[in-house]
Formats: sequence, structure tokens, C-alpha cells
Amino acid sequence: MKPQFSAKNAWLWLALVSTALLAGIVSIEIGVLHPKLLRYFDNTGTLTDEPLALRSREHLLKALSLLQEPRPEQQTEQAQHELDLAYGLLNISLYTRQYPCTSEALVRIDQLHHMLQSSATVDQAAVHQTMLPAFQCTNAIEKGQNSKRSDLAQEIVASLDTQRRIFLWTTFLIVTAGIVLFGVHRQQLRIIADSRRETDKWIRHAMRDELTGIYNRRAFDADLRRHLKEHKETGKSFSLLMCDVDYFKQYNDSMGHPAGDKALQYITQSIMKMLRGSDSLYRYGGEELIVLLDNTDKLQAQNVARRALNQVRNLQLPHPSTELGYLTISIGCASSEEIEDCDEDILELVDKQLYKAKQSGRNRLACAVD
Amino acid sequence: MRYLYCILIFIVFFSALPALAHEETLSLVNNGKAIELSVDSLRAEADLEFTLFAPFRGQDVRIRGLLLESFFEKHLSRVPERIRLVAGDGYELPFENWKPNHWVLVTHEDGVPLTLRTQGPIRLVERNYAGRDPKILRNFNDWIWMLKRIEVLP
Repeated sequence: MKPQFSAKNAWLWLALVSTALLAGIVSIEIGVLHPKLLRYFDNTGTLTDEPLALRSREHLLKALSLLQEPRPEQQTEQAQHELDLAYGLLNISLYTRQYPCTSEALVRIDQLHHMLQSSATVDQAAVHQTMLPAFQCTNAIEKGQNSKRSDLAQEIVASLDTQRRIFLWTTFLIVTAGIVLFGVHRQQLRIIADSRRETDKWIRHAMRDELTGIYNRRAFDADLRRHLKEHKETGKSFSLLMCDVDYFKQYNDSMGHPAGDKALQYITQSIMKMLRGSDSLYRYGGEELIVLLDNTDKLQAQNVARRALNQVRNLQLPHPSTELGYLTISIGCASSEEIEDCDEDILELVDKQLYKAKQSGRNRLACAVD
Repeated sequence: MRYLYCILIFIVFFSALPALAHEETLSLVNNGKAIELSVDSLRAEADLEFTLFAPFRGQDVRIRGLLLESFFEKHLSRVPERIRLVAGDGYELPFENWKPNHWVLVTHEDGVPLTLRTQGPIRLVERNYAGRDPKILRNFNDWIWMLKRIEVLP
């Protein structure tokens, strides 16, 4: 079965694709940015929470406070321990490579350590003078690292701003494209609907008889083909009544063609009134009409035909050229079940029956098997 | 003569006390009881050696140490799931559901025993970086320098 491509589905897919595109952009942005933000701004309680240089300075300060005079020997050892911690926190490649003062600071810490080891008393002024470059270095490193962090924050903010713009423009473009496409689609739908209405109108015109308003021969051919196919496939029965107005040429000659046309209109109207919604009436030729009785067997068709004969008789349309003095019709009848056993065409069969009715005196019904 | 021996023993014992007091140790606290492990003995226990790029050194170094679970098996006869690591400078880190065969207590770098000055004497590192960029130091926040105490948590 051919898949149905409806406008509703198309719009649903367009909406889904647009949403997926937006969601993709957002997730990519978050995916790129989130780890970066975490890496630089979510270090609480971790090794790099505080710059190592700052932590080193804290130990240097502790060492200095422990070296205040007078001090017991134990305090000196503690100060040396603090100096070692300060040394360790400063002794990393990031600092030694990027901050030239680091090597000097490490040397100074080492010097003080040796001074404390070699002498029980150390001059405070010498301690301060030795440690000053180390303090200055830790300040410089901290400042440098803060500056780097600040540059990075600005870079991230700039990147966020760019991504925000991309996101807004993409959203704008998608929405605009959606609106434009929607407009174009609506316009096309209108054109298609107009065209379809026009086509339907022409088809209706092409299938109708202009004089009587009933279906014409083209419509009958199509409907007969459909019924024959259906009968062949499902066995559904149908019947045909072929009607001909008796002595219609004489009627036209004596009453005039406009009266003939009028008479045809009366006859078709009277037959139409007695038909079911599923039955159809066609103008087959000049004064020849065909009734296609849907889902009707031979006996039911004969009843309908008799009623049709009576309907026309009851119209009592005056016809001076006939014995009865009014217009009558002759009807030939054939049913789908009659063509099952013979190779004969149903149309030929019904035509033969009409001929038989005509030959046997008109104003009557003739069926294939009576 | 006996008195002389006693005096000598007294002198030797008390002169050794400061040295004992200064010996570097790692505390292992389990059920509120602390075991002081000599760093020297841990250095002797170190049986794992490998080379990796040390992010804080900015170069490849030859690491020697012992696996964290081996350390626990040897000194506790079990491997706890939850521990707390305390560094000499007061830095603390709770450590839970840690990956086995991954964390190493480092005692030597390029054959040289670690000291406080080289972020030792015991340092906890990973055996590999699992795709992390070793140039970004913030990727190694779980590493513990100057490890002083390991507490087993309930």
C-alpha cells in the first residue's frame, strides 16, 4: 500500500526536526561548556581549590610566626616542617616554568632551612630578608594565576555570548523558515483545492445530460464497468432496465421538439422519483434511458420496471399519433445473473429485450426469461 | 663496669629517642585505633613500578609505590570501601568506591624517595588518566600529596 503523505504529518515532522535541531544545539553547548565551567569554577574542597602558591605562603607565614624570639627548639623543628610544606607546594612544574621567581623562592626557603639547622639563634632581620623574595614570588604567582583565571572567565563569557547569539539566530531562522513554509504550504493547498473543485465541476458536467439533468452515456459506461467488475469479484448482483419512449419521433413531429424535450424531462423525473438512492438513471441515446439497479436481482428488477411503465402511463402526456392517446415507454430488462451462464454482453442482452418489447406491441416489459 | 654499661645503654636509648620522634610515619586509623607505619617500611614494601607523565612535574617520571588495596590487605587484612585521606598540610578527602588496581601510594620518583619537598613522603596517584588531559592540573584533584593519615570509615 502506498504510504499516505499528509500535510498534518509533514508539519509534525518539521516541528520534530526543528525541536531536535534546537535540542541538539543546546546539548552541544552544554556539553562543551559545562565541563569547562566545572573545571575552572567548581573546585571547592579539592587540591586546586586554592592556588598552591597561596597555600605555600600560608605555611611560610606559619614558619615566620614560629620563628619569633624567644622560641624553644621544638618550635624551630615545626618551622622547618612548615618550610618544607611551603617548598613542596611551590615546587611544581607549572610554577617553575611559568614564573621565573619560583626557583629563587625555593632557594630562599632552602637557605632559611639550612640557617635554622646550623644555628640555634637566627637573626629576625636575616629571616625576613631571606624570605622576602619568596613572599613576593608567591604573591606574583597568585596574581598571575588569578589573572589567567580572569582571562579565562572572560573568554568563557565571550564564548557564551557567541553561543547565545548562534542559538537565537538559529531559532529565529528556524521559526522564520517554518512560517514561510507554512505560508507556502497554505497557498499550495488553496491552489490544489481550487483546482480540485474546478476539476470536480467539469467531471460533474461531463457526466450529466444537459437536458434532463440525469447521468449521460459516459457515466453509464463507467458505472457499468464498475458493476461488472464488482459482480465478477464479489458476486454482487445488479440489473439493467433499458427504456425507450414509444413513437417519440412522431411525438416530436406532431408536438414539436420543445414539447419532446419537455416530455423527456417529465419522464426522467417520474422514473427518478421511484428509484432508490443507490439506483441510477442515464440518458443513453436520444429517447433511450437506462436504469441501473444496484444489488437487485431479476424479479426485483421486473417489479421496478412495471412500476416505471405505470409511472409514465400515469403522466398521461398527450400523444395524438397513438391509439392510446398518451405517451408510453417500452422496457427491456436484464440481470447480472443472466450473463453468468452465457458469454453474451449484458448490454446486448437488455437491448435485445427492449427490441422484443417493441416488436411485441410496445408499452410493455420484456425480460430474458419470463 | 656494670654501671658503665648501664650509663652507656641509657645514653644510647635517650639519644635515639629524638630520632624515633622524628621518624616519618603514616597513620592508619581503623575502628578508632591508630597504627603508625614507618615511611621507610612502606618504601621497602613498594613493589610496583611504572612510568607515567606526572602532571605536576610536567614530564615522564618513573614511579615506585604500592597499590592501595595491597597496602590495606597487608596492614588490615581487608580492603575497606570508604576511607578518608588526610594530608600533612591539613587537606582532607573522603574516598569512596575507589577503583581497584588503579590507585597507587607512591614512595619513590625516578628512584629517589619522596620527601615533603617533592610532595611526599607518600603520595596517592592514579596509574592512568583515562583520557584526561594531564596538562590540566584540575583533572587531578583526587590526588593526595604529603599523605599523613588514612582513616577507615564505617
